[in-house]
Amino acid sequence: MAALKRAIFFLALGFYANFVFGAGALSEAQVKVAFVYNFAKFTTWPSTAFSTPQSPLILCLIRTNDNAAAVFSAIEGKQAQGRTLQIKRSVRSEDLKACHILYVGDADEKSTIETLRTLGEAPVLTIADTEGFIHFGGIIELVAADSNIQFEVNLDAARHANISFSAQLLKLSKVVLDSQAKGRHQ
Amino acid sequence: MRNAGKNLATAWKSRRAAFSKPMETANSQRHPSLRRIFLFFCYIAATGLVSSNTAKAAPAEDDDLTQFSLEQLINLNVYSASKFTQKASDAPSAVTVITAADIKAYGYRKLVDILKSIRGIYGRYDRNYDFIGLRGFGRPGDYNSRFLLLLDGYRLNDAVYDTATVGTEFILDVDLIDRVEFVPGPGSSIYGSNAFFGVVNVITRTAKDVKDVKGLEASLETASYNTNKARLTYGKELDNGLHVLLSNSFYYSKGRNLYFKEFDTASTNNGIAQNLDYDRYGNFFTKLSYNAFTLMAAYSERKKGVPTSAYGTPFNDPNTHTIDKQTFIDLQYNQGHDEKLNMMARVFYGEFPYDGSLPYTDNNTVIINHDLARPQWWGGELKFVNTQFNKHKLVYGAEYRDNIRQDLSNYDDDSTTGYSESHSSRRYGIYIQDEYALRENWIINAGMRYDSYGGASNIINPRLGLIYKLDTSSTVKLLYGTAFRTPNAYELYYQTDLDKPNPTLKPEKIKTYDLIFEKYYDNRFRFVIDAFYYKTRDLIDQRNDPLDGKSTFLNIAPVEARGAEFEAERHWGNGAKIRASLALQKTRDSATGAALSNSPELLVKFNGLTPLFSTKLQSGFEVQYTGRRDTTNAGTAGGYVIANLTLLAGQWTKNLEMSMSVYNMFDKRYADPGGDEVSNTIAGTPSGLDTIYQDGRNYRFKLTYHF
Repeated sequence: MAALKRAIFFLALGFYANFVFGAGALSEAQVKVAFVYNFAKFTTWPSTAFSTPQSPLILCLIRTNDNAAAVFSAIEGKQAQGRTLQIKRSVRSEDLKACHILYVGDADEKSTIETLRTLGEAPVLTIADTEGFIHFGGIIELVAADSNIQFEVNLDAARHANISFSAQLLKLSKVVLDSQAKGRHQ
Repeated sequence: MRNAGKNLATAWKSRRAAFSKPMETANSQRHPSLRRIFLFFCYIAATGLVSSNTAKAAPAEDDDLTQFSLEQLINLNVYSASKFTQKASDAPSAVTVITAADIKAYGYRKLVDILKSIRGIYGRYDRNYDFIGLRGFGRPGDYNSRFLLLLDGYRLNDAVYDTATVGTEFILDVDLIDRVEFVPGPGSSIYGSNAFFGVVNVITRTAKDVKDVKGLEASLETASYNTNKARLTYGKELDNGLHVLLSNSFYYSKGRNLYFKEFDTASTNNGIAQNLDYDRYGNFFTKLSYNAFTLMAAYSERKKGVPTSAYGTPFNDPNTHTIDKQTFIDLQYNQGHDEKLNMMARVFYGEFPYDGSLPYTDNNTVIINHDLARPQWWGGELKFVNTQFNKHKLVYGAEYRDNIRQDLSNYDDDSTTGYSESHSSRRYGIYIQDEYALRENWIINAGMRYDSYGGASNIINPRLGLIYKLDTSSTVKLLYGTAFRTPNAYELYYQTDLDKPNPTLKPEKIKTYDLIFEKYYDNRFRFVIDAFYYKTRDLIDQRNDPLDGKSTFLNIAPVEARGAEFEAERHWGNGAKIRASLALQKTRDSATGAALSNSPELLVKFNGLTPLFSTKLQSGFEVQYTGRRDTTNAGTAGGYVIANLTLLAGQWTKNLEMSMSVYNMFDKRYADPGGDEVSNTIAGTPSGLDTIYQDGRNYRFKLTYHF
């Protein structure tokens, strides 16, 4: 079975090639973090959301695994809207209202609705990459397409939280759920 | 397609009966230079090392995520870390999905190339049509009739041969495919006839998706053997909500002169078939969507030269060719897409005229024989997906199909008489399937379909699946299913001087058992084992009657197939991914105790896709091993390893995409088993081609421009 031996050889070669080549590109997780950073730049919070002009912009992570949380450290301490980004991991539910951005790692329907109920009308920008997130009441959903990542916005939920977005962000959004502008998108 | 020609017996006899194993192809080079291969890999290894070093040396590029604007991020090519959906592990099968990104990355040119990358599927090309086999069944003489081929849910199998076209005669340009979903195993409990070994659902790209065609897209290809292809696609989302997709493609391959040792005599051009491997097609596809309505229409026309002396035609006769034309129109209404009750209704019309020009020699004069089929059909379908009931997902529906024409004819140029017959038939089916979440970790999937065909005949096909989740990442599935296929008009009625009809054929049936284990690690790694046992009853098989040398279709004794498939898939965050599979299978004909022909016992596949330097450039590497196969004439086609490599420059400039592919890169000489169309046994003496040689190393260069 010389042919089989050769097949196995090529298989091994293929695996080898993969490890040799597998460098240099941005990972999906990194791109998502870059998106979150951009959202921070294009969102306006009510002034009441910050106690002083020097207060940091707080990004909270819940239900994210360690790998994802580690990628977020790349934007820790960066500037957005003249404020320093501060990252809090594994935030308890009673502290959620103190966040400005809440990134939900694993946003299943049940726990998401629970979290959103806890937040109430607090000015917190909620972001997740789980399918259906904006339909459960989340504000921004990152959508992985075949070869790129897009996002969708629930503008009604944003209004409910008293936060607003720049027109540029809305323009680039794939879907905008907006009951006040019937049929504009979707 | 198929067998024709008169006085064939004499034609075959006059041919050289000697018939040995594989032979040399005139212009193939027998020396795949090992040194060159070695150098190539040194080169790749070196460039790869350079790329990983530069990446390490410049961490700033990776770390500084803040430099990207939103617009850049959206257009950045990122390969989804995981396309594994949770749904897939709940499905009562082990589904494989190949996406448009894979089609580009591996340089796939035909639907069959896509399918052959899937675990357990192997191919056969007779230099006219492409065929696929699964789990050891790839019956010569069928036109993929045991696979149901769907295009956005529309059934493409025609009304005479049940053909599932997977070669250049496929109705759609593969560039227009968004993804191909392959569901192995019987699907008759939902789809009825033809869903015997598997269901191939081809899903087309739409104008809807932002990522997709928006405006004009033009693509040009040039390839070995004087092959050129052009495609123009237009996609637009109009202000009134109408989505328009239009596409047109043209392909012409001059082909090479092929050498066949079997015909190496002075009277048959020393075995060289001159200018007969040409392949020409054009196709048109349009899709219009407005709210819940989608209208699809497609047309394709292919003319293929036949270099193999198939169907008893004289070797190297320039008049030998086949023409396949396909048309369909399908109107679909889809309501409540994301709601608890979804309804889909469709009406469709289709036709698939086939014209074979098959000369034969009679008393030293060449007479052209015309072999025609005129299938024509229309029908409708209604399907509901209901998730209103807690813990239940119900799928139910009904299907009706009227085969208006199932006409076959065969006549000579010089005579007004010939053979011709007209048939028509109707069939309908109703089905229901319930996916019931018995407990948190138990799912029962049960369904059945009732089919009525040909008047009083009917059949019920059940399916039962037990799905048990061991934990959040591993699933065990135990599946039982049956499937059937009614004999088609070609198998029942076709007759020439070399073919006998058999109107008493019964439908063929199969019972299948699968035990599947699926494991996911961290959404990045997937592992599947599928052990199966299949048993057919009354399998319809083309056999040669030794008494008169005529081909005919018979219901044969039960055939058993058993085996196991293994597949592992791994994705990396930077877009790299690999998929490797191994299929072991054994078939046994209970009448003879022997294995079936065209049934490899081992298939090994590897697919690897990796970015090189950055996401702008990626390589797709594919290796496939197909084990030894017996031929219909008790010969063998040896096992072989094929490797293909594609380099794809995705975002070199904003609008341009380039790719370069080398197929069969080690220039392996290999052959597929021939079928009854190219070989024959007269009075115990085989003649014609027992195996058919395939292409050596060949190249393709492709440019796609988005306006």
